[in-house]
Amino acid sequence: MEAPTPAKLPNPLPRPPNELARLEEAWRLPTGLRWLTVVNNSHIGILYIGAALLFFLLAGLLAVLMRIQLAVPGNTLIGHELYNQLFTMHGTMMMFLFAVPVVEAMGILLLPNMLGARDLPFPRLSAYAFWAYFIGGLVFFTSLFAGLAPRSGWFMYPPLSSSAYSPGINADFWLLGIGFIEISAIAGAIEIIVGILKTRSPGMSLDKLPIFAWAMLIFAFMIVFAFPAVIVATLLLELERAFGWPFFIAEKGGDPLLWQHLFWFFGHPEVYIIFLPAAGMVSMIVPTMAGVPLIGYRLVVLAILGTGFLSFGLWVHHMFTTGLPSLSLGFFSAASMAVAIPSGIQVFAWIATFASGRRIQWTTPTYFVLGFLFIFTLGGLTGVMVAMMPFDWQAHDTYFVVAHLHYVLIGGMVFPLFAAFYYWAPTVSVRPLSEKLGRWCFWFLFAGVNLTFFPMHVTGLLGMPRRVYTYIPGLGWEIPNLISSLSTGLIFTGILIFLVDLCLNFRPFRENAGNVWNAGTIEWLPASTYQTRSIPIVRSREPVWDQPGLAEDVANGRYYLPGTVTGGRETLITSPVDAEPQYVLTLPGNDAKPLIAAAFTAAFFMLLTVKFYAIAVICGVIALLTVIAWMWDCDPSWDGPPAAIGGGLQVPINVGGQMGHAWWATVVLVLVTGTAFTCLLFSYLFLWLSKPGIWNASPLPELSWAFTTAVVYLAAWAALHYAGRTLARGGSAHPFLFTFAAVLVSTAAASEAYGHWQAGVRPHATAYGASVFALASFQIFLALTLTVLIVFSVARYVAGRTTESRRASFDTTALLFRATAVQGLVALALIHGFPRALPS
Amino acid sequence: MSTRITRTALGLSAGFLIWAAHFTLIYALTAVTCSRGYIGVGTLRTSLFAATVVALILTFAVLPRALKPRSGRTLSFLGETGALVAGLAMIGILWNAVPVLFLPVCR
Repeated sequence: MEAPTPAKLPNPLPRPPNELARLEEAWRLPTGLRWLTVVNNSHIGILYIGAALLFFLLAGLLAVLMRIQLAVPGNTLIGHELYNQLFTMHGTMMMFLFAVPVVEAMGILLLPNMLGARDLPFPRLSAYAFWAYFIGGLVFFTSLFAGLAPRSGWFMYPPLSSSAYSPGINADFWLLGIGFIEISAIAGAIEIIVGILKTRSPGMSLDKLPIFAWAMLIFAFMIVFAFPAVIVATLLLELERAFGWPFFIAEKGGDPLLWQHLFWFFGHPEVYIIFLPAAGMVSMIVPTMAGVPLIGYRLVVLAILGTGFLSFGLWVHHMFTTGLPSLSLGFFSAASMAVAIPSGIQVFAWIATFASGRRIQWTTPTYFVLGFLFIFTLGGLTGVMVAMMPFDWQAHDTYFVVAHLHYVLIGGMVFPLFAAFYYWAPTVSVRPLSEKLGRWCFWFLFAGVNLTFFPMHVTGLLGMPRRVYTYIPGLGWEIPNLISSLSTGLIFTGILIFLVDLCLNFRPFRENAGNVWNAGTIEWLPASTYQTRSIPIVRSREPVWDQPGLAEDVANGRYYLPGTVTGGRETLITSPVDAEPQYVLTLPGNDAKPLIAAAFTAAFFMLLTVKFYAIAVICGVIALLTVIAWMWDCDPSWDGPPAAIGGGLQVPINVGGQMGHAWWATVVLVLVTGTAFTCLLFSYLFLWLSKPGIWNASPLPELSWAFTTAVVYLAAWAALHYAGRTLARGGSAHPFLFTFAAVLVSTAAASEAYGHWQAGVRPHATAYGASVFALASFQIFLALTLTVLIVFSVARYVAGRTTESRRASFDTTALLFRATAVQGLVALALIHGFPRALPS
Repeated sequence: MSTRITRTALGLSAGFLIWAAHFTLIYALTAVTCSRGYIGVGTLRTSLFAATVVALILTFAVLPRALKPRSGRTLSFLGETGALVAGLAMIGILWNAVPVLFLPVCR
């Protein structure tokens, strides 16, 4: 799209007198206690970052306690029981409650502004995700004070984490607590994908997408494909602990390695999930500080895509010592080296950008970026070392790995994060943070991190294992440990300085300080609660640099949608590749339902953990009803004229179908459930590979059961199809056909489970039974979910909220329905066909 | 699903999708052979080699379409980046297969 000249800007001056006032009114921040009902990304983003920082501090304090205990050999400050809880909670909180949430929160806060949108496409979903995470995380932390914190390490390997060796509910806190926090992360990922692809400024085609947005897009897709693996693993372990389904118990045909595969298939992409947004942030900061565009934009996009894909091929490098065949390990060793290439590309792009800058701004963000380059590169080098299988054989489970992981995570994420705080604070605060305090903070952190973690390479090579609560003298471990422990004081001081800086200078939720660094991207345009006054047309990657007068014209309302068409909150939906305007999306305002639903969801999971089943179910039902009440208002109709957004463009309001945001979200959700299903298929096949005797000895229902179930699935599909036809024609049979489809799909799912049961298969008897019933239960769960969705959709139809032209609730449910039916048929083919097809 | 974005995404990531398929295949084949022995070690080595050659050819075949001259900056960008992806994927596929030359298969 050609950027318009001043005479041809979409909307002329003067603007109508009350246009701005109406816009401000629609986006007004609630006051008093009603502040809890905010859904706007700017406010949720800041709350989210604040919560993540709180968990960072709490988990950091746990680490300080551990380091005090390890400062001298034979220390008796903390016994092994507590110590096991400390290192488990430190790792779990840092990885699940800080690292992923904080980068997700930066996306929630920055992306709409950076893309030219007024908000994310599902504001209440982000509010729900935040509150569920915050409440659940706090309750999870408090398990420490009751002595109930999980204590089997942050990756919770069975058999240690199984009921035999971890009786009590500590492990269940982890499984149920972290399980739903992961669901929170997936909700955020759906939001980010749809937001980046559908809500950009006109003209912001994919080749002009800010690198941070590219990074967040791939980050979100990585979450979609990685998190279901750990959710499945979590569910399987909980089923084993609660009901005795022996997925990981070798004597009954299970295999502890199944957990390791599932966990690390998530766990390795997880660290790149944490790193990519940080690299994206650095790619925004460096060009501004250097005063020139990023060198090698296409190569950096390649690097981001490369990291996203290649990181899924590395997971077995966490399992080098498990006795897998050398060649298999060799593949992973090779891939682990190959993944250094994309990281290297980005590092060289940043160095080149700095080198080509005419006048570099030596600011706190710059210092933190340089610190990141140094520390992360060191971590990357030790990463290539441990990628070598023979070396890792020696270093596995020693402090060498602890040193490596802290170098890459602190260097690769925490330093860019601090750079980002100092860099973007002026977009959300009345004042920027203090340069002087920032430098002090940087130097304390830089010195502290290096002095704390570098000695751990030495202790690791001297043989000190991970997770030991003390050690004997005389092994040469004393001095490095003492240095590490004392140096945590430097890190502590650095963080304290940062907190002081925040208290003195960070003033959010009012005006912002403006484009203090003279940056080129549009999150630096003048903005308020409604983001920018009008939605700009962008012509390049640095519109503020390349389009003179852009800030002023946007603030005067010269670009698209300078007010509100419907009187409420809106944003502009554009096409995913070229960002051409498609329609105006109305957005919800302040709402208490996400908070209420989140509180009751958290209560449901936590009460299940402490085994108050009845109250848990009641809370779950309340959560569900609250969500239904919230969804009741979705897909609203608009009976007025199309929106005139400026420049002669008239676009519809709230389009459904395959262009609609609800459809896109459901597509992503289907990818999530499909990945979870694939993980269950993998579990079945892996256990077959590992314990064939159990498979050969297990009963199989008659083939007629499989055929019957398949026919019922197909009948359900047909009923769905005709339900869709009758909806389109306005026929009255729609509710009956749709309900009948729900009955059929539930019958099919139940029939599969019953078929196995009557053949004598029992889920608690063998791992074969467990994996068959895991697949069947997953389908039953989906069928029940579909039933709830269908009843909801039929209710909307009866109430006149779903019509032949307003059918998002039908279309999205139908998509999930078809995916479930396909999964059901695939599962049937595997379970009934595979054992019969095997050569005996 | 809007087909243009799907085609764009597939075109951009074609190289890596081939890499992923190759990786899954060589890993699964090795794991099943070493556990079950349905095929011999020699056949396994040959299959791994063949899979690698096929994957390299397929990735190479992405290039002409990706580098076809297109109108507009966006389409050129997407094509060129798709070609870069195919290039990196080729390096990844080759590098992943190198252990077959050096390592004992099932020990």
